[in-house]
Amino acid sequence: MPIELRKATDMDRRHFLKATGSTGLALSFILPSFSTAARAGGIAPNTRRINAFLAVTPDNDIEVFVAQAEMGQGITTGLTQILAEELGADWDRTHFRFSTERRSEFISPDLYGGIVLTGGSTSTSTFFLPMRQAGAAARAMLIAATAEQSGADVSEFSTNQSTVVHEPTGDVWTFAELSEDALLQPVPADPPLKARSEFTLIGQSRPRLDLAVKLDGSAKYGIDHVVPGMVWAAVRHGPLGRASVASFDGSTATKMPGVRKVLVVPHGIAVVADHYWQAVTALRTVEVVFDPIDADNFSTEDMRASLVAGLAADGVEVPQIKGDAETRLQTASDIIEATYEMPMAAHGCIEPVTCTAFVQGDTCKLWLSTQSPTLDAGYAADVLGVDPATIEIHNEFMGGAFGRRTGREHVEEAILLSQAVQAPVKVIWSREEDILMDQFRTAAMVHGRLGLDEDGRPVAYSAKVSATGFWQNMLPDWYEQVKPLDIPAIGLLDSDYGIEDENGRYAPYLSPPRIGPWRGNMDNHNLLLVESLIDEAAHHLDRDPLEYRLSLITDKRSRAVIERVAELSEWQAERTGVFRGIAFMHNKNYWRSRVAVVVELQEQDGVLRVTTLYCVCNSGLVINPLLAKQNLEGGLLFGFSWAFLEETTFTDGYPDQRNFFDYEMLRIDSAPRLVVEIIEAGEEPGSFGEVGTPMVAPALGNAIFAATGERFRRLPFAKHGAPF
Amino acid sequence: MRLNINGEDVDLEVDPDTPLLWVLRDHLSLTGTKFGCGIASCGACTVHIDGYPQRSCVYPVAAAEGTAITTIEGARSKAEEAVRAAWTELQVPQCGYCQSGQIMSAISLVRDVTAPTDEDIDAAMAGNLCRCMTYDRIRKAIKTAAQQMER
Repeated sequence: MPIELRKATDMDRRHFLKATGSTGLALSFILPSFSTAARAGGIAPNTRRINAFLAVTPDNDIEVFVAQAEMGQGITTGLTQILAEELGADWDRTHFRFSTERRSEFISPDLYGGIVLTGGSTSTSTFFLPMRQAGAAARAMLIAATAEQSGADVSEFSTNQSTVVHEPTGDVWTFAELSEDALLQPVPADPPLKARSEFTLIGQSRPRLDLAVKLDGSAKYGIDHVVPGMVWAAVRHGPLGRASVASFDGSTATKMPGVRKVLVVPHGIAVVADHYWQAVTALRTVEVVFDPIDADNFSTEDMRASLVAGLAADGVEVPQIKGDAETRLQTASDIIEATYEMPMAAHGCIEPVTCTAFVQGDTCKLWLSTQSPTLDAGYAADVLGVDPATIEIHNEFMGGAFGRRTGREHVEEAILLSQAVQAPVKVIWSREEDILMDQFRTAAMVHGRLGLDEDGRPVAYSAKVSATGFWQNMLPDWYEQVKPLDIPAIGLLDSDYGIEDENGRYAPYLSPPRIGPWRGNMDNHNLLLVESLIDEAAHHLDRDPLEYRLSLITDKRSRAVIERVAELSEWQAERTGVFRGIAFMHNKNYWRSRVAVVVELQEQDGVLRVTTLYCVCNSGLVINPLLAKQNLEGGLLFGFSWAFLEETTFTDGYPDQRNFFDYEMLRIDSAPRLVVEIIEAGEEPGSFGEVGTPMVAPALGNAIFAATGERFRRLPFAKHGAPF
Repeated sequence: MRLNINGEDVDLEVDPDTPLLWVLRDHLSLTGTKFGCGIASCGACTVHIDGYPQRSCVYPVAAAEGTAITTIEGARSKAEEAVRAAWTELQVPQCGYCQSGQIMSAISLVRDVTAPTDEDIDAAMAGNLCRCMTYDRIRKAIKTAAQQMER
């Protein structure tokens, strides 16, 4: 006997609205501004938004709202998969949507207090619970609506394939049929979540939901959006990307075809034209003189001298100091001491920085690739003197990010130019300007002394990092709360090697060029130091570096990734001309990740070739093994690219490398083979986005030592003496 | 000026020195072809001119008059099907921005070279940068597509 469902009435709705003034998960009865490109065809009429994260269409399609930015990591698939699991959605009819909303539910509670931001490889770990709760709450409301109207108890219902199922009778109702009534149900504050054993979607290698649009050119990136009536702008900037224009001669440019205006922007000169190439060619004719600024003759050698001075200065204490390392070092049997150095580096996202702005009266709309619409809205509001909440920001696919996609300058330029020409303006930075204006990876010098006892165990460690923290530059409000702590100070200490006394100092260097986040961040330099020194200690003691690490590490999961990478790489197998190096990271706090990397080299006629990178990673629960592997693969080669090749140097206030012929990044013809394996453990997901990157540099340096008997301590290796 | 793009004739007025890339993106809103470097160094702008890969960011539009221009939006062939199927099977893209160019280069490779070796792949694909570093999957996908072509 089928169960009859009663339809909700207006009275029910009024009653409900009155009764549930405030609830745990926000409800929305008014469809907000949707982005249209994530799915062809736009949003269907009468689609019901169940909560911040999901809506149901009349055709029973599930729309999942993903506010975390899609930079290639696959978050649009991963977060959608988490929600669909708890909801009981039909995966084949579940889609993701981008949103222009910056609502409270989209704010990452783990990052800098109160902004919508994608960074630090935290999206999955941070939104794992909210996405589950959103799906579970909707499931509970759909079931409650069915139970209320049928008279059966909620315990008799479950959800499956986007339907509510009455278990005793097998009757089913689609979510679409139920969604209007479900919205009248109270929102459960703490909806029951599935047990891990009940997962059918989480843990599955589902294909990426963003794949098809990335194979036919239809995916829309920040650079791609076309606004009716739009004009185009090209910009040239001065020394350090910071100087202001003192004077310019745009008389030739203004007469050229299509040119609307030649205008000064805060750090450069811009040409606005009907078409982009007109703007580019006209800009070439503009002569500019920039005002002098501090350090506008900045060079890399100046910076290196300052970093060396930082190593000699006191610096500030880093977290997790324990015991008295300096005293303990005085009684150590052996001290391994060394300084390692890595250069500044550019992000080199293949999509250069762009921003399209349309300022009309009191309204301002932006289209751009961004990791933080909240920061952009703040910059825009500051330029215009308006409330940040009024700024509408469209952010869809990003052509890479790696920490690059924040910053004021491109947003400010597009807004000022749109105001000046009273039309939508698309600013596109040429590759040369994109690099000049980059928020580079900090250069770093790291110095350490590792004290060994008579058994060769490391018992004391004193480390210092001389580098630039990006909080100070990018997040000044946050920095005020935590200073003098900044990014480079984090994770300098507290390895898994059981060192009893540890001391660390951070010597902040105020960099004239802008410094920003960069995939791997502080672990790139801090663990380069630890993992190189441990390797130096092993060789000093005539111990096998992998076996030496295992002799010091007690943590079972840490040992397991090292033991497995030893098997995969056939670490013990002696082969003529084949050399290997290992590095290991246990990131306890923010990534909850253990990673072991082995780099394999082959030597032929005195020249080294990197043949294979082996990686084993344990980052807790895995949502989608395909995505996790892709992130590790990309992270490994990204790490290899910088350790091997990448370097930004400055002369007279400008980067010496301005495009991809001189800023060299890894290409397919130098890309080693990858062997990647994931060990899954636990109930909580950790991170995969950046964890593949930092261990390649020390593993590569350690492999070069194994091959040559020589320590190379300045990176990138291929540019500072290693025999490649 | 008359261009033939993806099998259709298009008439437009444009400075003949304009790179084909900006004619496609700006004048015609064909945004699948990407801008990356402007100096033929990254391959994101790769299109086919009379069937062969060219970097549209340095290809003056005047030189493309009288040719058949194919962009990612219009690529239709046995090789294109094999490449897209392999790219799907191997789930190649991450951010995806460079993939239009990668795919256009790969279509030409698997069409012209039977059973491409690693060296063939290096020669054909080294001009296409991928900052997400999807190279391992690109290499495997090209071999998969090449096998499909032989069937």
